[in-house]
Amino acid sequence: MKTKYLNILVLAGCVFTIASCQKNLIEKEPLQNLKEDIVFDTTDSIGYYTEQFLNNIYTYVPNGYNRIDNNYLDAGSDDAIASGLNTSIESFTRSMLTANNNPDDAFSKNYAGIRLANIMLANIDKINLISSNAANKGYWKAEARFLRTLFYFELVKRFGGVPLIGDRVFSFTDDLNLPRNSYDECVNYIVSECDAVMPLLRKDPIDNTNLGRATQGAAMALKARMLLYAASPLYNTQNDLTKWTKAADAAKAIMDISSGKFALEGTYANAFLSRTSREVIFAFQAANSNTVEYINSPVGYLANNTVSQGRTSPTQELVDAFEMANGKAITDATSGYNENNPYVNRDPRFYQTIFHNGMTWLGRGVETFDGGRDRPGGVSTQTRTGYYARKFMGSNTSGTTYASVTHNFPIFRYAEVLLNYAEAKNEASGPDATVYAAVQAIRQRAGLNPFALAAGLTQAQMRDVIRHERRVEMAFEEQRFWDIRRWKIAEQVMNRPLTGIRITKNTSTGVLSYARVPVITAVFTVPKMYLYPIPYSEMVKNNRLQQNPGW
Amino acid sequence: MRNIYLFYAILLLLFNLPATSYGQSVQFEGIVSDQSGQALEGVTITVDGTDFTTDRLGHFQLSTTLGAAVRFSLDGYQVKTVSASKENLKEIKLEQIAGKTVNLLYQKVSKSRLLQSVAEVGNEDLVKAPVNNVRNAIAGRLAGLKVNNGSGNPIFDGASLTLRGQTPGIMVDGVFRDYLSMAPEEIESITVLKDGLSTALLGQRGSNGVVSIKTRSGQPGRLQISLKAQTGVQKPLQIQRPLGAAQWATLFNEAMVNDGGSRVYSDADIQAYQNGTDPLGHPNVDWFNTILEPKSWYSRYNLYASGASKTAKYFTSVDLLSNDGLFKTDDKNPYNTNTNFNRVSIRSNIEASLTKTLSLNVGVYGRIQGGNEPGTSSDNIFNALYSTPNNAYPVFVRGDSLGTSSDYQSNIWGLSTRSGYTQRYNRDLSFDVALKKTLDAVLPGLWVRVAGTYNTSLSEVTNRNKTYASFQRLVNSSTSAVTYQQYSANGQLGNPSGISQSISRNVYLDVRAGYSKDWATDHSLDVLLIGNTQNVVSAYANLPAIYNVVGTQASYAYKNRYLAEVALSYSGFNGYAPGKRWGFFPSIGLGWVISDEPFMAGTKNWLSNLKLRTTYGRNGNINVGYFAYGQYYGGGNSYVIGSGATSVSGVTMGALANPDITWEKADKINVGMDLGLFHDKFTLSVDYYNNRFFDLAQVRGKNTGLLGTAYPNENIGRERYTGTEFELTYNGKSGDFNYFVSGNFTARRSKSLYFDEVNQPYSYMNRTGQQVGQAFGYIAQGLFSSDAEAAASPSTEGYVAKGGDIKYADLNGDGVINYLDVAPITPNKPILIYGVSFGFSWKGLDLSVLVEGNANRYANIGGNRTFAFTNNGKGQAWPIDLERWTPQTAATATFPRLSIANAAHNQATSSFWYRSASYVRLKNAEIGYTLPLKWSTKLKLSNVRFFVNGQNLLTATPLDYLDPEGLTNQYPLQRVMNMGVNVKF
Repeated sequence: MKTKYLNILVLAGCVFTIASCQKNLIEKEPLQNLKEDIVFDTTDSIGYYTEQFLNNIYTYVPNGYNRIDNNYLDAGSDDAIASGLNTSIESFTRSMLTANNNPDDAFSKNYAGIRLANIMLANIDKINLISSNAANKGYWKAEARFLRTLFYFELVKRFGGVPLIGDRVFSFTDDLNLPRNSYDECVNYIVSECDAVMPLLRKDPIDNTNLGRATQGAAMALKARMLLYAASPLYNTQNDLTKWTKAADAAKAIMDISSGKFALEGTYANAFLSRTSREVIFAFQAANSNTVEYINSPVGYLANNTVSQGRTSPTQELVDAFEMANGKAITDATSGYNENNPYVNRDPRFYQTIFHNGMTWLGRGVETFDGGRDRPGGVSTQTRTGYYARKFMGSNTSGTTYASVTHNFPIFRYAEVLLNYAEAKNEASGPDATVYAAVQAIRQRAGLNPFALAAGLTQAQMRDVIRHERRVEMAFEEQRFWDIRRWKIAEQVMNRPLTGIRITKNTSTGVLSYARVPVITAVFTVPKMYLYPIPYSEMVKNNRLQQNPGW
Repeated sequence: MRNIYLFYAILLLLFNLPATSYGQSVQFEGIVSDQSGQALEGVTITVDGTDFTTDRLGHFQLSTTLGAAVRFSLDGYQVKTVSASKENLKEIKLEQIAGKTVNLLYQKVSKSRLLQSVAEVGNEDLVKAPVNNVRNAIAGRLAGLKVNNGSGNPIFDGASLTLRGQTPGIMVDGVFRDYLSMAPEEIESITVLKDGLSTALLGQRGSNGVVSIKTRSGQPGRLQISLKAQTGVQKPLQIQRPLGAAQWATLFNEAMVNDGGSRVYSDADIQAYQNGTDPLGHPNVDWFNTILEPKSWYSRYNLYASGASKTAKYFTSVDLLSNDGLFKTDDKNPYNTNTNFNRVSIRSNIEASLTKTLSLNVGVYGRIQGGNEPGTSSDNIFNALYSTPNNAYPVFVRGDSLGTSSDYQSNIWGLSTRSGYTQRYNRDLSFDVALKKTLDAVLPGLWVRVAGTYNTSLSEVTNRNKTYASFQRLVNSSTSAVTYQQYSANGQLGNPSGISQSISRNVYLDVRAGYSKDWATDHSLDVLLIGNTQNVVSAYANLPAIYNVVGTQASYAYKNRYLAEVALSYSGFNGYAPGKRWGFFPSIGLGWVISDEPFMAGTKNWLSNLKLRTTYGRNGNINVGYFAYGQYYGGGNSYVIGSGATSVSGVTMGALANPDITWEKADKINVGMDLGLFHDKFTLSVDYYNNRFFDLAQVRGKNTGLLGTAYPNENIGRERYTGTEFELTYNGKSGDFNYFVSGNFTARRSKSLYFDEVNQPYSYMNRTGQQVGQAFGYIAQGLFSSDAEAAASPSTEGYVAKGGDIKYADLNGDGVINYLDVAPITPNKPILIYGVSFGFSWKGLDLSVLVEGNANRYANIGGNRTFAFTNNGKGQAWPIDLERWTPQTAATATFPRLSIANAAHNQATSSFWYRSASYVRLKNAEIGYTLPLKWSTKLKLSNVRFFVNGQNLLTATPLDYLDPEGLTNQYPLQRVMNMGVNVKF
């Protein structure tokens, strides 16, 4: 009798076991994850996730801070070197770049941004915003196209022509043996995209809520920069003046509409520290922080018990490029420059750009003399040139910690537009009054006194003036690195020892003596270093890619 | 009546008391013995549904009616049934089942019938190793299994297992669960299931092979209680001593000069390091001695009770383990900062007969384990020990203020005693329940079984870290005034608001039916039907992984000479696209026992066993990400928009989905031979296997960046593993002297049959055709003997080589050494894995020794335990660096010239740094002495045994300054010397 019950129990157990295999009490696939129909939801009237999808594409905008081993990219130019030994950015300084090892390999990153923009463009028409939001759809679409264009520009300035993939979103099974488009095709594509999206973008000045989004000005500035690069000697080997004219016109177009939209900041530092500056046309936006201060301040400073890292060491060449406050070059015998007291009365931008010995920071003077707290010797990372990079930082002359400030990285700012115009116009038709006006506006804002340029400069003299002005005005803004390439002067300025200052302090008198010393021998191999190599990892995966000259 | 049995069964569950028997009618008595006349204790005698057992002298008494069927059974012996009569029952002889049995996945099989390729180690060998984790107890004991123990950290005393080149699954009592930190006394056997047939019923989870643990159940016979206490001392293995400060500084100067710089340390500095006259300004700290105790302690206590009554078998064990770490502690801390590990585990396995045909198995396992670590991890501390030179900074600069320098900004004594502590707890619980019903009434030999297990684990990590201040002592060069630069600050212990927890659980349900029948002596058939499902939740954020199998297995023997077996399974996993979740996995095995053929009768007296066997099986392996078939979005980065620096969320497309992703497959062929000579005194098993793995998940080679996202895994890879395994044993006896030698030996090769290549510019760069996991690098051709030779030879890109730099082969002849000169840098030889054990017993004395080794094993020795001045000159230097090249030692130098700034050339991955990491290790040895029975019985004890054993006792390897298994900067392996006593009541 009992056995029977037990048998029934066993049987019931079997049935239950089998049944429980069949029945799923939970969902059969993970519904905690978003799928395409939610991101591009036809019934969502505010485009909640669609907007977020666009936000994420913005994070692919290049950010110049902490770029390579926490150095600025310009530590690979003649403006600076890395403080650390054997850092990967030295492969630019010493032409040790290889197709297999490029610390600035932006190939995959930018195609990733392009893919996301294309996914956005392929799906955005599905969403139906209510009328009060309806304009957003057009803006978002235009922003995605602008960002895609910016990503192509990032590729083209590094590699020359790259494969243009249009609006296609590839599957992993697609044949991606795509050839490179020519440089001119890429330039034309970028310019035509800028022209096409410009009227569709938000107008400048942008409202505070949407600050940071690409505007009409951003598209115009991208176009102006692209045309300037395309007109430059590296690409414009025949010196086709119409290219310069186009570049000048594109920059001029921004100047023409600038009233009420763009202007130079009254104070140079505010161009970097003011989030709502009219000078900034487009920037990589970031929350307030003091990371830039920690990474670049001299190594002897502890703020909140954390040591500053002093990653980038500006060269004596950059320091020497800064004029005296009276607008005269230090090589000018009448400038008042004193080799034994070299840091007084310099271009005010110098003090915003460079940490020099004796400058006050967190309540004490910077000590980059030998054995000083910011150049202690030994094997730890410290300046190799006697200078640290000061640019972009908040004012922390006193106190014990670094203030958290705006650290947007400028991509396009109005000062550049003026300099672009001056350069292109000077090349196209010589140094006319508009060229003078553009350059002098920069010098005046910088605080040079007098700021006026000598009258009657030749085209060549004006070229030197503009190049010099670009260098000091936009140091560490990822301009110099590309400028010396497109001007084809890298083979001169990067083929020599780069120098620093060695300051020795007389232990008894405390008197400082200064000596210029070579710190690294820069090498620039021609022609290969003018363009990045297409990454080896791409070359072996795509048999239709053509490698750049020299690689 | 049955109520009483049930009552007793429950009573047993509670108290584990043996039950007594009931009976009536005629009284019989007799003695049970084996064929040699040795009395057998604990034989189960079943009559009229009542069980009796024999006592220690094999004697039994029972009462039943005349002519009733009396059944005698004992594990390892053939069952015998006689009809009750005074004559028949007087003397019963049981025949031993030929050979041993082996625990396969779901059943115990006699070795004589075995077709599968398996290796097994029993309890008696496992208990010899003083280790936390039984992984370390099976090294060298199982043919085909490689155990690599890379770290001696008591908390993470794991070891990696490799079975025929794959990482095997771990099963405990037929269920996938990884509880290898358990007491060896709880384990009956550990079996590795190697071929395709043995794992066929696992379907998609079979192709990596399985390490299957069978826990102990009650032994027939009276209650046995065992108490074992042991304690041991552990010492780290192969800690190499760094150079002293003076030597370090001398070499550092040399490196600076080599780099074109000037000497940093003056002769006076070096003198001061040498003399120790200025410990603050010129420290020479032996950090290893400062931080580490020379030894640490290990202890373990085990109590188990085992027995059986006629209605129940039971095994219950309690185990306590404690294992201390090597770090010195500071008495000022009101808490412990040393590493340690403690474990308590309880296991109870009970099998109760509820009725004549229904039995219930209940298994309960509980484990609490955890430990302590310094606030920064022990691995961090060892990393600091291996990378901080003796002259970096003094331990203390003033009082108990820690020293440091701007280069380090921390202090190792601070790391080990002032960084707080971290506590870890793990709790594991397992419940196993099975009901088995024999259905002899329906069809003799038929049974059904339903079982379930529930396993739950919780782990907690409580970080109570803190910061600590350290000071750099600065001396003003002109005034000699001393100031202190502080780095970091003394902080309070971190008090994390939530401990970091991870919880996992899995539920396993299993239904089986079996049928076995023997037709006289000609045919025998065993059939098993099985269906099971396991639901594994490993992270609460995710859906469970659900594994399902239905399968069947049938084995057939004709005259016990011709053996055949088929196993089929149909197996599903919920991680693939709907409609693509289930796969079919067939396998087959054939065997021929030649030695039992009538025509071999003449050789039977010496050729006791000769069997040929072969199996083929298709197995599967799940190797896909979390629902990798579906295209999901999420995980984007936020961006900052607006004048208020507002962070706005971002969403992006997740990993690109491969809707066709599916299980990996393996076709495994195994051919084996078993040989037994002289009544199996000598046995030899040889297995050859050829396993072809295909549809392996791999990212295609031409994964261009133009796609704009990472390529997904596709089922495209193919690999082949082949190997030969030998296992031999010899058991000898000479009077009281019993001895044995056994060995296992494996030679394994692998080959990548298809690796989705890029367009490799040179054939030597191809991965296809190489062994799986082949290391690639530059081919070193010794050191340049002079600057002139270096100048005339190709060098790495951008580097001007000098005399004493490594010369690399310019394989493509382009005059430069770069990524196009990268080729295989280790010989493609089969790896050899072996273990040899031998021992004897003589009267009360016993000895056993296990030697384990590997040959044709290569390892990269590059790193901060070999190179000098890593981390831009902040690193340590080692005795091997003294063998550096200098112009004077050009002829004999074995190490490249020293450099700090230009080390990349010499430190590149190359054959120069790949060295033979073969080794032979005296893995385990044990000496025991058992008190004579007459003494122990006086103590009212049935057995008293004293033992001394050791683990990792001696090692021979060409890597003279590194441990061949512990090459990374981890907690070093330990040598354990252990002693204890085992008392049985």
